[in-house]
Amino acid sequence: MRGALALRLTLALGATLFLLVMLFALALDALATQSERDLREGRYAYILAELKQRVEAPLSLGLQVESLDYLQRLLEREAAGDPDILSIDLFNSSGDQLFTTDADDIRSAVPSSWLQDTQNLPPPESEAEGRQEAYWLAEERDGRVVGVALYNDFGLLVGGLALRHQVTDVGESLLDPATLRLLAIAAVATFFGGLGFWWLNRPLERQTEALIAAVKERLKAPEALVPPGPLDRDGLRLLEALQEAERRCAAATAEVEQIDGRS
Amino acid sequence: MAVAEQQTSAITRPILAAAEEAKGVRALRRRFLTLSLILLLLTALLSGWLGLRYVEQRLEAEILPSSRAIGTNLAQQFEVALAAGVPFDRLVGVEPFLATAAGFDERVAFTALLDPEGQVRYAAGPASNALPAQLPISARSDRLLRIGDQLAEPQPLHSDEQLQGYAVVGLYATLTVETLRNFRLAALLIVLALGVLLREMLVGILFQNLDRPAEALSRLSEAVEQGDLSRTTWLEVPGRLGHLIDAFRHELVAVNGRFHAFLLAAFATRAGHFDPATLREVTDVVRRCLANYRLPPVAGAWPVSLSEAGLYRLAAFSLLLGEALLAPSWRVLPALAEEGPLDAVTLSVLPLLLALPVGSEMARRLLVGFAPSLIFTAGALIAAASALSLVLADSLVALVALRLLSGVGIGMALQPFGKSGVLPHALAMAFVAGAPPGFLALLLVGPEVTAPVAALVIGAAGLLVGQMLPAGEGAPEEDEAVTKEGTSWAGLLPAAALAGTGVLLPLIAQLTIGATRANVSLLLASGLGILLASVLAHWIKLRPRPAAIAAAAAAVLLLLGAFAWGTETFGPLLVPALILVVVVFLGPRPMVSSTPAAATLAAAGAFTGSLLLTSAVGLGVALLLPAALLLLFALSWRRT
Repeated sequence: MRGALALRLTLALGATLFLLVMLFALALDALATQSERDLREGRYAYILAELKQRVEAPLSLGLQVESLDYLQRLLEREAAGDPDILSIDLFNSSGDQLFTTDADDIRSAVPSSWLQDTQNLPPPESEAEGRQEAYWLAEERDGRVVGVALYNDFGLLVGGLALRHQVTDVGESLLDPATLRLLAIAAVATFFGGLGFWWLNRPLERQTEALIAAVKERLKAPEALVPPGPLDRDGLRLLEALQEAERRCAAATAEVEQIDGRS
Repeated sequence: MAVAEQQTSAITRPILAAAEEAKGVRALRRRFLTLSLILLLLTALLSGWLGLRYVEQRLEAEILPSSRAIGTNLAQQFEVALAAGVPFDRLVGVEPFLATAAGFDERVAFTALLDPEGQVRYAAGPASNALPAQLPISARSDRLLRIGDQLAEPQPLHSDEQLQGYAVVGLYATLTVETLRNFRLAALLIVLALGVLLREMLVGILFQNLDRPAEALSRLSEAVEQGDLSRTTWLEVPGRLGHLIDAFRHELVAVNGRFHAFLLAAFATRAGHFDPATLREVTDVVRRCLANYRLPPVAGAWPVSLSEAGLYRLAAFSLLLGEALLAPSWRVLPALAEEGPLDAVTLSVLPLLLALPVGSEMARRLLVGFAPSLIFTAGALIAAASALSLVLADSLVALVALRLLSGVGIGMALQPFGKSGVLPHALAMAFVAGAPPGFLALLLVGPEVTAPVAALVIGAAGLLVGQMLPAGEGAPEEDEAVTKEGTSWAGLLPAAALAGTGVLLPLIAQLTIGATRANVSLLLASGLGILLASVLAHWIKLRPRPAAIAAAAAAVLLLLGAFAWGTETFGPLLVPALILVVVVFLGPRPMVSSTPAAATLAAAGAFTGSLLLTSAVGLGVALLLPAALLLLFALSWRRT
């Protein structure tokens, strides 16, 4: 078959380029997902910081968190503002859940790890030193959690706020138009690669064709008919050596026939 | 000095002659590789650029809600003040308030308060100084503001249902420096891995479809030119080159037939005549005609010997690629999840290394007479089965048993070409090509998927590439020289150095800097270490001068030092590593003896002949004296 070598090389190139763009798409998707998550968590941390201010303000008046019924509406309003928020929970220093926006939630206390993370946050006086330390982050089975600690005027921990939100997993948005665009680039590159391989292979193909014709038709002076190419040295040398052997054999045969005929 | 020059000349002459011989085909091969490399790089560049633009677009969808959330809050606070009766122009303490909001997140570029016409009244934040005095606020519902690389959504302030101004929070819409750096690193690893993978695939295809037919023609033309008509080739190649080989084969048969016909005619002439002068004359003609030619025996012509090195390398590469894909999973395999990093490496690597020579020796003693293709396929299937079962191993005993079985399988599979000089290069390439995708796959899907994929690659290598290996008996021609050389220390030390390099780098990193897991940098370091040693070995072989050896040793030590310094410094090393791979991609084929120069490259065989054995035994020695071994490795090339 003509172009068999070019075809094989094109297939290998195509497979590699396909793999390349798929790995690029995966890496970019991972990067975008991570950046989106960072941005989203920054926003949720801001929302929690605002809520924290609103919860802590009445505490300085001597009120108990449990008595602030309007907080339920406040939490629900914030949670309703973003479809990715799964729930916002307000809990006391023992981990008992005081308010939550999760209608399906049947638990009365938040997980102990949340309480632990909240207790590990720095006290209010050192909070301003590092932004990262003002809230905690954790993995959840169906998303992630951002949390802040609540303090009273004396700097004592009175509870915490936790916001659970959905996350997009890497690979979920892999089959989108952007990946198709990358695949199209790979296809175009493969096409040009195929053209290039075919074009580069032409001298070899032409020379091979001419050599086949020269061998089969026993052409005389093949070097004049075979175009230059990669097989200049070996193909022509072999052809000439075979023709030389044939010439000698024919000459010897003629000589023997001549001897036979003469006598 | 004169002796040294003579040695140099003796070593390099056959290599240069071989290079000259295949010049046309080599040039064509190089063009194919260059074109594919250019296309790979262009595709990577274009895909990377377009991909990053797409990521930025995706992030905009998250930036605007953030701007809106902070802006709405600011607007509410200002509205409280306005509702208390403070006129917009008399607001005080605005800038510190805005600065507090701007300092909340490093992505916030500025926070600003605008009047209803869009004039900036107050602003804070790192990019506030670059804000224009007037922002283009429109009454349209789409109120997106794009200022340089920042995005914002103005939030209106109302008092008594009158528009008083806008609170604007601008966020950087470009990717962070850290994100870009991570992507550049990932892209480099991917391009590096796939560049090597593509190169190995193309070299394999070109070896089978271009190099071998050209070599067959070359060997046949040499034989026929010297009058040896008893040689032929049974090479089967697809395409026109295959037809050409066919045509020459038939022509050889035809020429041989004519010679036999001539002999028959001569015998008939002799049989029909009794005149001694005529008989003598016929005998003279036959003698003169056959003086320069050697005809094949009745049984048929002998095939010319062809190099199998390219096929061996492809087979070894594809087999080891599976292992390299699996390598990043070692640490997180169920049975190892609770173990320390050093234990994880020890428990997964050492059984494999110990079993390699056992499998190799078993194949050598028990599978005598079996075709290399069969031995390779059988070994690869054993390795594939054990890789597939890795995720099911629920205890350390089971894991070690499976790693031992894997080692036996790989040792068996590699036995037929253990001495052909292809293993170090194949091993290095497999690590460079397999570890990064394996690591990416591990991050995304976990070992329960990467282990079967690795098993699939190993199995496919056995079944597909194994079929391309020679089906007949017999080892490659260069075996004799190699076996002879393999018994000397000169052959053993480089192998120990190479084996040490592969296993040593991760261990050094773990012992000295306490790397917590066998991550991609360490695996790549192993692969690049072997690759560099392999390339340097080839380079030194061509230039056996003290300066070259010293430079090579210094480069190896430098690289070792750089790797041992810490994985954090690995990023900048990727660029030279990439250049190195490009050089390998386009440069000479290290350790592949596809020409008669194989005899002079015998050390390459010795080099790998004892590689497997010293991998296991040499580990302890290599741990103590890595630098000395590498230096001896370089010096030993000069000696051979």
